[in-house]
Amino acid sequence: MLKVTSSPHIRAQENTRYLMRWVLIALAPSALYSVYLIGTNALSVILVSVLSCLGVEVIWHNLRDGKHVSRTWWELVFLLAIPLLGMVPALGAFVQWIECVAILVVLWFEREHRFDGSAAVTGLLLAMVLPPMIPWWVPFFGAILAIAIGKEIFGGLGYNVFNPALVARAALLISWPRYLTAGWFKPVVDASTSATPLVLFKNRLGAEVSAVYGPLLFSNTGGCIGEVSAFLLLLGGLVLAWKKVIHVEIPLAYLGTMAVFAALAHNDPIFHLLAGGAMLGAWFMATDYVTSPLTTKGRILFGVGCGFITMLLRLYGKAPEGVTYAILFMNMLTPLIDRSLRPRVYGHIAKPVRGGK
Amino acid sequence: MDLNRYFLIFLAAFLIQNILLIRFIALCSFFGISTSVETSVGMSLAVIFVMMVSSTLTWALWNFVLEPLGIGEFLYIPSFILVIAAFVQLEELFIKKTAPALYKAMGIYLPLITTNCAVLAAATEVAKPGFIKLSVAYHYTLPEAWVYTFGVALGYSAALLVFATLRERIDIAPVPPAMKGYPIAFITASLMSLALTGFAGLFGV
Repeated sequence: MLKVTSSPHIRAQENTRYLMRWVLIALAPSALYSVYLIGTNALSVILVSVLSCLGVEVIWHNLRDGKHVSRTWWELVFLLAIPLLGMVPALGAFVQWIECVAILVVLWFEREHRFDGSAAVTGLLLAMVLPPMIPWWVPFFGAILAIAIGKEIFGGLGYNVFNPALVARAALLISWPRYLTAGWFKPVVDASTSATPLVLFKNRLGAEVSAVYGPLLFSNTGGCIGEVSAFLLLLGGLVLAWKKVIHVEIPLAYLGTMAVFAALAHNDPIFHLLAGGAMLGAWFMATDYVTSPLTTKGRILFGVGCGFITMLLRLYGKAPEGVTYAILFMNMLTPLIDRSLRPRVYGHIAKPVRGGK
Repeated sequence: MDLNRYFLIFLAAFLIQNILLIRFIALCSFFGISTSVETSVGMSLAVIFVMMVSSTLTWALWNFVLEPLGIGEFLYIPSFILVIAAFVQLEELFIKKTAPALYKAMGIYLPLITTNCAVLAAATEVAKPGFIKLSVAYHYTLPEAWVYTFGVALGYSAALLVFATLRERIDIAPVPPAMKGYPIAFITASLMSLALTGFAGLFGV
């Protein structure tokens, strides 16, 4: 360790594990609440997604670092082979629990591996942007995409260009559009409304939009797992802002731009803020440190861009929702924003304005 | 003047049907030039300039010569290539003599553009619009051809610039040895393309 010290210094407890733990804590209420409202399906998607992300990360790290190589190869074959059991008709969806237990066994074998918690966050976020009635192997492949292609192939945490969970969602959306755009939870009481509020809005069926504020805030079961309660997501986001885990200017710029855009286009701003993935995206996805700009000005620009593209895609696009693509698009522009808004180096004189004296 | 139509043509050419990220034309220069931001800016300037002029030329050639004579269908590719190549050579000589500073800024990229497929693609499409499905058998007017070409050229430049900034960042990352260089560049480009797929169908384009 590098020690440059003379006075008593305060040691901050903030490291990756600390930050990721707070993100998990902030996400936990909405995840648990959706499990409570939706039931086993939501639970299985969350478990498969989180455990697969942890499993893929540990296997990748072992193979990358050359630790326990032969054992790790066996683990990889083991985890990839279990989905084949799905061909046995009698087993059916029971295979997902076998896979979960298998990943737990693998994680027990690798218990000395030091997780930084980012894989768990990615897994939970991925589960929260998937519909609850999705076949269990879709989040499984999503986890492989998120951790391997979204993150580790770029060099691991801190080097990924795009948000891993959203990379996985966009890739899954192209690969299995049928599963990703259906499979919404059907409430037992009113079996006719199985479309999400945004789909209804797109089809101009939601005439009385303001009547859905209550459900959107507290019990919207039509939608992804993470869209059940906008209120709990907002609460989690505020907790993160209070603990200074996220930079609050990104969600504020994001949601503010969305509201202004919606109002200018004669739409209901509050509906657009509460519906779909806006809350989840603004507070938990766009605020990812690695894939958002470094300066305050840059972060505001990033948030404004996300909000603008989200509303553009919602109002004029083909699909009902645009949060995924808006954040991925702005992730892509992040290095450019950082490059153009580079802060002045202390002690250097600012470049004179051209045409000045 | 139908501004809405110009806007849709521009948006389709620039973003929704981006020539690099959605249609995968001119990938060789996309991967070859994007190693640093400076080179991609030079290339972008050269491409915008050459595309605008060559599309004007091919538009005129198609509408005043090839189509009236009824020989367009089988002669358009050779004649367009000839026009573009001859124009780029002439232009290089001209700029070298008249505007040395501009020549220095564009540098090696000017002659390279002779073989850039994006230029031929744009030049062909303003004469024979086929890719942008605004309407099937429709002939662009000259202003529409300019708007379209400008959109394609700006889309090329924007994608190249963004890709260059991403690559500069990836260059310093501990990418696994097997993925260093072009493999990770291709994966990055595919993820950029993935981010753009969401714009398909925007405004019904």
